[in-house]
Amino acid sequence: MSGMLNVKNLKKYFPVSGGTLHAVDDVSFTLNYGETLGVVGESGCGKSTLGKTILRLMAPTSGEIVFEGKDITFINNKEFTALRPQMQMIFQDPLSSLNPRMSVSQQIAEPLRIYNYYKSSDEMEKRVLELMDTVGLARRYAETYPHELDGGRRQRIGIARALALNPKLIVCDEPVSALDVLIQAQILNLLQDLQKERGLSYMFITHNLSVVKHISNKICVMYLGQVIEQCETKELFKKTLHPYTKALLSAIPVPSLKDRRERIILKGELTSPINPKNNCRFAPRCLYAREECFSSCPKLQDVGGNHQVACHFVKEINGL
Amino acid sequence: MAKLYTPAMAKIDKKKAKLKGRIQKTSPGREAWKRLRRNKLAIGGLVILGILVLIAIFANYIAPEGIDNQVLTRTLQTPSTQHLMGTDNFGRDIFSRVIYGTRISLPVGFICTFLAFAFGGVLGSIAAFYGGRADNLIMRFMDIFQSIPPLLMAIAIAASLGNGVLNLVLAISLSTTPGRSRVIRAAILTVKSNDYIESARAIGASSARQLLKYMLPNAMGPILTNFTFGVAAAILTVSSMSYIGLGITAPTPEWGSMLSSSKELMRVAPYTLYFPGLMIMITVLAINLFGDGLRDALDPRLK
Amino acid sequence: MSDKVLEVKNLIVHYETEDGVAEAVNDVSFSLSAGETLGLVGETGAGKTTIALTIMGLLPKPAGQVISGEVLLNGKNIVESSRSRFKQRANERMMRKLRGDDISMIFQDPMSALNPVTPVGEQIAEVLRLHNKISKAEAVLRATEMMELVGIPGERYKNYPHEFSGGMKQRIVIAIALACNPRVLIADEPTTALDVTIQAQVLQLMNGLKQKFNTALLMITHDLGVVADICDKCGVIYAGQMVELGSVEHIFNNPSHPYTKALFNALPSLDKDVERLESIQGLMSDPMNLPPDCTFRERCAEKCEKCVNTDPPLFETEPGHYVRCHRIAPAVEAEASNAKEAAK
Repeated sequence: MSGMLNVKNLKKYFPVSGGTLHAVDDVSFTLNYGETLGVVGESGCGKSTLGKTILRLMAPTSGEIVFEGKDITFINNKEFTALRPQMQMIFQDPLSSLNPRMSVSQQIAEPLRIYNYYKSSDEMEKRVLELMDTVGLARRYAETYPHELDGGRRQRIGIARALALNPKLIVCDEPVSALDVLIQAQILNLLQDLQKERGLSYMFITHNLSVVKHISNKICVMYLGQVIEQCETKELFKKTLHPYTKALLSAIPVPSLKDRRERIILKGELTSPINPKNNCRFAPRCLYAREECFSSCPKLQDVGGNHQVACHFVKEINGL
Repeated sequence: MAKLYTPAMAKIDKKKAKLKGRIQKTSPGREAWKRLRRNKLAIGGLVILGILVLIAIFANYIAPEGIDNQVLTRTLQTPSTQHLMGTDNFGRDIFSRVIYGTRISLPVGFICTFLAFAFGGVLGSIAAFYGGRADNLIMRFMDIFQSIPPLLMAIAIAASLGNGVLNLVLAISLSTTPGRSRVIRAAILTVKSNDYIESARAIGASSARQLLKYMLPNAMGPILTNFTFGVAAAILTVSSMSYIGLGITAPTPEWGSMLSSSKELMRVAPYTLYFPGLMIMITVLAINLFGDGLRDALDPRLK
Repeated sequence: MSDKVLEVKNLIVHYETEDGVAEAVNDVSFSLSAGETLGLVGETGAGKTTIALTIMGLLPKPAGQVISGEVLLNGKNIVESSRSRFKQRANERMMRKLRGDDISMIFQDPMSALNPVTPVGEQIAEVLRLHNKISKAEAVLRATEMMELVGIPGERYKNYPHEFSGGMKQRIVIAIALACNPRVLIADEPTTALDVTIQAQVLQLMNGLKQKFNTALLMITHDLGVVADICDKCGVIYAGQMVELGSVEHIFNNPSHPYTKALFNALPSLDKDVERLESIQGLMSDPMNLPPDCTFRERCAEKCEKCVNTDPPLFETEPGHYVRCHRIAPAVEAEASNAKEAAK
């Protein structure tokens, strides 16, 4: 079935001193209408680059991005400008992603102004206030500036801005990781409500597995530019297959004293995928790594139930 | 637990009561002004600048005599109640000439800097915004110009254009353009990496909009500061140029040319040097103090 | 009591700025014994970091001012609430000797805590030489030992901070903090800037070192998971007040303050499936403008008439478990009278 967004073999390489950085390497997924795809990984795994490449904030190196049946991978900027209202983004740090010299109402009106949605300023103001109501920002904040507000309210401005053009897809790049737990819960609820009301699709990029579990239908786990495990959310937490996903899951400190899980402590740290060799990129840190892992790169393979894993020994490790 | 009430809180409550009734709306501009007001040195600079502007405007009321009132019976008189700053070798009242000099030095300083920032601003923002080849081309070109000391270049330009206030302004602005373009390029490059530029792109803002509504306003802090320092430097350059005879010609009173014409009198009547020199010093000091304060005030992190 | 290494008693700290007085810490008390770990949890701006800075004597001057209260390190008061400049300076001189020796701190961002132009080994050796009368060679030897202890090969002594990854840098910061074997270590969000897998490594390391050196650890974090992982006791800070304090068992198995409960309910869980997160509305009161009521009243799900205009004191609901809530009071009083009757 072809969804709203089809990404096939997407690659984004950066030239860096000493070679090429494979920030996104051969990533494919499908996102359906009204669904949320969670993209999880540690910093430097290429998840943000993936989101920005899909929104054409960065030009892809190769691959295919099909949005609503239209290949948008290499279309020119003019054509993309016409599509942009349908694909919006919410940023991680709500303070640095808002122009400090614009008031709240100006921030929210900005996309409407750019696309000339309204001729009269009265209509525009009405719409801005509506948007503020939608995201739960009290109208009295219309003339305040971002630095006077708290993180949660700032993020609401970011959401209102993204909603202004009635998009179908919103890429959320770590939208709650800068927020306190109580505010985080408010924003996650808001995002879920908006999805129900408007049938939005989200691509939810985060490093927080508990958040992604809560909000997404499907999950992609990324490691050094590659997707190493991909399946339905329930499936992933019921049947974690890739050794990295397992380690990631076990490393999360659980706020409970009961059922303390066995910790898998990984050796070493993430490197960066500059001129990667043809091996499993996780092999140097993997507990199960064998010779084969260092000589060939495993492909994503379906192990049944639409569960895809990139590991040579997935069957052995999990006794499948 | 009972709520604590400290002396500091009482002091602030008193202040709050005083401010009651006034609308407390904060905008970045107002905040900056609030921070600036707290900086006594900067306010001092601002007050001096204000006085200088007033002097320039009302020069003909303040100055007791005209600019070229040569009275050969009173040459080289020392400062007295009659001639506050003494008289020069033509018997002209130095005080009057210094007062009228404000009319030249101040506007020339500001206009030169403004023009240099206008030229440099266009080049610098294009270089910073587009980067890559455009950046390389523009900046290497500027490098070539910068390899000549600005004063030498100004002299060369002024010499080829000939004397006159307009030519002088042009010479000084052009010679300082490369430096200004660097400042603006650097300022824009710093804000360019901010997330809000990316978020502007994500909502489809055009290049011009990104530059004018997002980058320039946020880069204004360092640019403004550099501007004030530029004004001070331009006044000094005008003075130096006049000193070597390429600036404003006699008898137009300009502080630099007054200095230059009294250089032979240094031994006989040193006070003919003191006062124009003092005026240059005061102006430059005032502008620098104000510029310093402005830089701090425009940085919201220094709140 | 002699086994208490660190005792904070009724600490009140204000920030006095042009715009007003921020009541950052209001009457906070807790204590730490050797080898014990206390986690302080709370949201941004609750006053956690101010408590840490006060203990370290690093409050930003002149705005930060200790109004009253004591911080006892090994029974000796180390904060100066007097405004006298002379006393403040004397206190600063004393703290300079203590910092890095008896008491050290780890900051959130390892990047900015290290000097970029000095090799990491020398940075460890410097702290050692500053507080101990040892030769340079001995300092180098002990610095190398410290590096090995935190899992960094000794031959990287001469490497500069930028040559290390984030997790490695935090290890070096830990090595510097522990170099002089301090009695108390304060860690301010030490793993927040790190990835989960690296966080797990660093937490494991800190746990091991804490036991080895028998250091009292004050762990400041916003992550209840980290608290469950590494702490023995836990304090919940809200608007500058300790709203709940107890052992981790008390806090995690029997959270009693409405705010603590809200914190737990707002967390998306890995084990349970919830359709919608429970979230309370509103924001923490502005420390510049604290209400005379219970500070949590506006957001509280269990508020009553008592909460208006009176700030509840800390009630001890069970031995060692303190809760600042009026709702708790009747139960506590009833229990107390029961106990009295039983005694009769």
